[in-house]
Amino acid sequence: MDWLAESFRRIAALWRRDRISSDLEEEMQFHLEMKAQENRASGMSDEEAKRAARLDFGNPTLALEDSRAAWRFTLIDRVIQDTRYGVRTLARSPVFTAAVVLTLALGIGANTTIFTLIDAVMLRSLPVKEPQDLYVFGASLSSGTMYADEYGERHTSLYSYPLYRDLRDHTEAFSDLAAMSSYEINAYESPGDMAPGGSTSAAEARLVTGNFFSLLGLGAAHGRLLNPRDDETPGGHPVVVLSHGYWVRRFGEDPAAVGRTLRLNGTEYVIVGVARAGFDGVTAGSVTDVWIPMAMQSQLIREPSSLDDRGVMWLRTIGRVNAEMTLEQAQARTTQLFHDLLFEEAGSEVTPEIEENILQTNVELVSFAGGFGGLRQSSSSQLLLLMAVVGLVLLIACANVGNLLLARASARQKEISLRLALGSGRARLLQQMLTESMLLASLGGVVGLLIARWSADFSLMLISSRPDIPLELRFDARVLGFTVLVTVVTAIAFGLAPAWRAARVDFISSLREQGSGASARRGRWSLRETLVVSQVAVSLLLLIGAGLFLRSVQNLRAEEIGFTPEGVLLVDVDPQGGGLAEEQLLGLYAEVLERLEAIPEVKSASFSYYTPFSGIGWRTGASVDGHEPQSPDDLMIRMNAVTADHLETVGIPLLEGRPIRPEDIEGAPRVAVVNQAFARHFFGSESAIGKRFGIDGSDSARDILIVGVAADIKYYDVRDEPLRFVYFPVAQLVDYLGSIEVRTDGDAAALAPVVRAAIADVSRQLPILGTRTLTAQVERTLHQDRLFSRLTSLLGMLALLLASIGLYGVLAYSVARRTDEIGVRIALGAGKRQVLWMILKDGLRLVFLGVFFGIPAAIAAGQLTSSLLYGLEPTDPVTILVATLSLTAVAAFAGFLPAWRAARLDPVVALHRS
Amino acid sequence: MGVIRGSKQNEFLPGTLDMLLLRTLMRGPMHGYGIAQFIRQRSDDVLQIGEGSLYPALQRLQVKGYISAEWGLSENKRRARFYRLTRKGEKQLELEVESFDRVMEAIAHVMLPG
Repeated sequence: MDWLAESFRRIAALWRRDRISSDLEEEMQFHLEMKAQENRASGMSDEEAKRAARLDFGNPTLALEDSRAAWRFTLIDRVIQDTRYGVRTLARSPVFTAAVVLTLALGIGANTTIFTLIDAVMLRSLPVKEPQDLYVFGASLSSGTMYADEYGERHTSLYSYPLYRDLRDHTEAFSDLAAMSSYEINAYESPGDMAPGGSTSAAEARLVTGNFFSLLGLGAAHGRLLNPRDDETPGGHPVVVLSHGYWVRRFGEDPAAVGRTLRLNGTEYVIVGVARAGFDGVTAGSVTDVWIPMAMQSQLIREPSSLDDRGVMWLRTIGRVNAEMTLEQAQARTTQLFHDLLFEEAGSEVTPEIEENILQTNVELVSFAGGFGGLRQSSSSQLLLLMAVVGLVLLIACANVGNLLLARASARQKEISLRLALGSGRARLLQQMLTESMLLASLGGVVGLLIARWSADFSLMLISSRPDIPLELRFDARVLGFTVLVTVVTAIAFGLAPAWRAARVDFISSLREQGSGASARRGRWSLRETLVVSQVAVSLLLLIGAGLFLRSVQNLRAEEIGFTPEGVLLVDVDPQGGGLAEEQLLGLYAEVLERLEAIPEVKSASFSYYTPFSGIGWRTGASVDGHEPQSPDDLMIRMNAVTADHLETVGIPLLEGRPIRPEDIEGAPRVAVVNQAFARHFFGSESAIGKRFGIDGSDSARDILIVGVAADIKYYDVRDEPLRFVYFPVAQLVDYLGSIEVRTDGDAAALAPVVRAAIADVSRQLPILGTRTLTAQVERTLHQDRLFSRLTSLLGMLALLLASIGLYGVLAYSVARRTDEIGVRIALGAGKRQVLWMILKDGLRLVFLGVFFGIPAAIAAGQLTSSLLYGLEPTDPVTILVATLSLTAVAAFAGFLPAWRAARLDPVVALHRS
Repeated sequence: MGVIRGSKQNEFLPGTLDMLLLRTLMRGPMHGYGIAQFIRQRSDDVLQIGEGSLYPALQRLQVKGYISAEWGLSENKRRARFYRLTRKGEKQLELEVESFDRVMEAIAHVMLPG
């Protein structure tokens, strides 16, 4: 490592240059005087002695120079020298510099912005110890306990507490397994104190096993985190850990909060600690406020405990894999253990059918390094596509800058020739030109970072369906590294060709050449023209892409959703959080509805478990006499529990039979309304009215009578195929209903205060979480598509703008070089039109060539995006045509400007100039 | 092995100047003038190191880390820069002496009559 220490000493010397010189000077002065003294001692006069010493010494300047040279670090010296020179050169042409820096900043900024999103959503790991060793059992985020992957293999993702415990106690593949509730639970401090009509905000609570934090390897900011001793006796551990964010919001960072009590859903919890800042839970895009031991489940949800119930699957299981295990081994062992446990559980009742069922089910281990990736799954493909788009925009920007530099290199030919003639090496010149490019790119990179910083919040809206998505965008080392990389690549991309070109200048002919020169090369294919053609091609590709997404969104919006959302106000409520017992629920629902329907503007009102496009789902299995299931999915249905007027209020047409009525109560015959898809699937062309079916979970009797058939509606996404759906009267399936729907003829949003007040008036034990219109809820699901299409349109237009500037630049430059020629032509009688056409023709030739390459490229690239399109093919001819025409029109305008200027040349002025 | 004074070139056998400087500094810290004097006197005026070679060589040795420099007072109480051999320099000197001996031996063999 000698060279390293040596380089280090040389670099350190850079800062002491002046000191080194003065030291050497003083030292040599001393040497001279000592010599003179010696001479005097041998009898010379003072004068003579000094003179002889100087003569003897030789050339002190040369000695000094040689000595200094010993310290020189050639490479760095040159870089510094080049940078200084570059700064001076750029400062001399501020307009050029500003144009280039701005172009690059837009390109680099857009790239950094998208990468920041990708970093936050897809790349970042949980801030825990060795996240790469963490795995979660099962990938699915759906509420089902089992799901089939694309190969039809069945996996499990949710577990009962007893099953989790067995897995934990017997696992060999994992050093430890922890479990957590698969959902956040609303925890209210004191719903009774709620102001009338006001909302109350809940803390998002997660139930976790006692080893959750030790498994993750997390530390506490204050106090302590949970440990296994906090999770032994059901109901016996009223302790809570706060997230750092919640501690800041709720307790104003008061360290004394630790040790205090916090009343949540009616139980007093002792705050034992605050988790470290930065750990907001394990799901990208959502936060947990408090963590409560699993043992407190019953107290927190105010329902009987399901800790001993093997039938309730509600836990996600995560584990830290043993170091010596490969993933395959761990997966095989865990599945084996899972099978053993299920067989043990089934005991002697194992029929061949059950056995087959068990053996078909696997435990899939999915990396948990990044936590749960709700966002990761929903927006990766769009993000990656955007990354490609901004990459292309940057490419166009590079081509523009490259073009500008080429033009400048021609203008600087004299300077370069002079330097070559004076003995400057070509490699040295190349280095100098590249340093200048690097300087420009770095400035662009810095400004780009500022742009990215500013646009980060805006870009968050792109991936969120809500404006308040708690996702932290960070400019961490990875993002900065990415920006630096992009900057360097950019500098090389736009700088290499012009630098190479400049360094190859033939200085003799170039010095001899005078003025702007009549010998401007014609007919030959120049690098600048190639750049413009590729710019046109790439921007056409982007324009076509943007057009496809635009039309796709139009198609989505035009899609029938099957119901009438206009005029419906939705109110999210939480009867469970209010501490209501199940017996009180039906009375409360009736009272609230009666009160709401008394409001003059209200046409009808209803309660339901969830509404269309709320993102919530409730799946179960159905059984129908005479229907032989082909697969477990064959019996899967979606269900909802509703009050009488739900269909009418939401605007779902009833096609046959009757709706659910208030008479459908406990004790009356069990009834349901199904949708067309359900009827078609189970009963084919026969009418479903009067048929009976059963559902899983309830008693196995297939005695639910179908009294009505409702129209199919879209329930989650307008892209969906109709799902099999059943509406049950809530009175026969008592449950906590979280949604109130209110229909009015007027403005639904304006009704919100009245509705809130009415609900609060009936009961203060019914917390209102929020209100919104059903229209907004439906639109929200298209929000992402719309923003995506807007963004691609914006980028497409940016690309077109840059390409047009490029075309304008090339033509304007060629007009400037051909001034003499054009002047002669006009003097010899060429008409304005002829001249105009001559120049415009050059431009159009480039545009058509760009289109010629651009359309096939767009069609090829379109295949990658087809999964994101709706209702049209990537080869959609209308889109391609419109994009091509708009591009040609804009480009023709860009070309027209210099052509027009050429046509208006005064031949006298033009010829005088040369 | 004559020396052309004031010449930029190093007329010693390649590398011998560095070796001579390092060897001289084995005696203790010295300033540049002292080093030149010492080598001249020790070689009975045969080896005269020009300042044009001396100071660049001293800088080179510093960059390589074989010697270090610090300001001090000379015999006649004047400020002068003293050079001192480092541990690394000592090791380097050993290596150079070894290879110098080998070369001298080889030359002697060649020059030997018969």
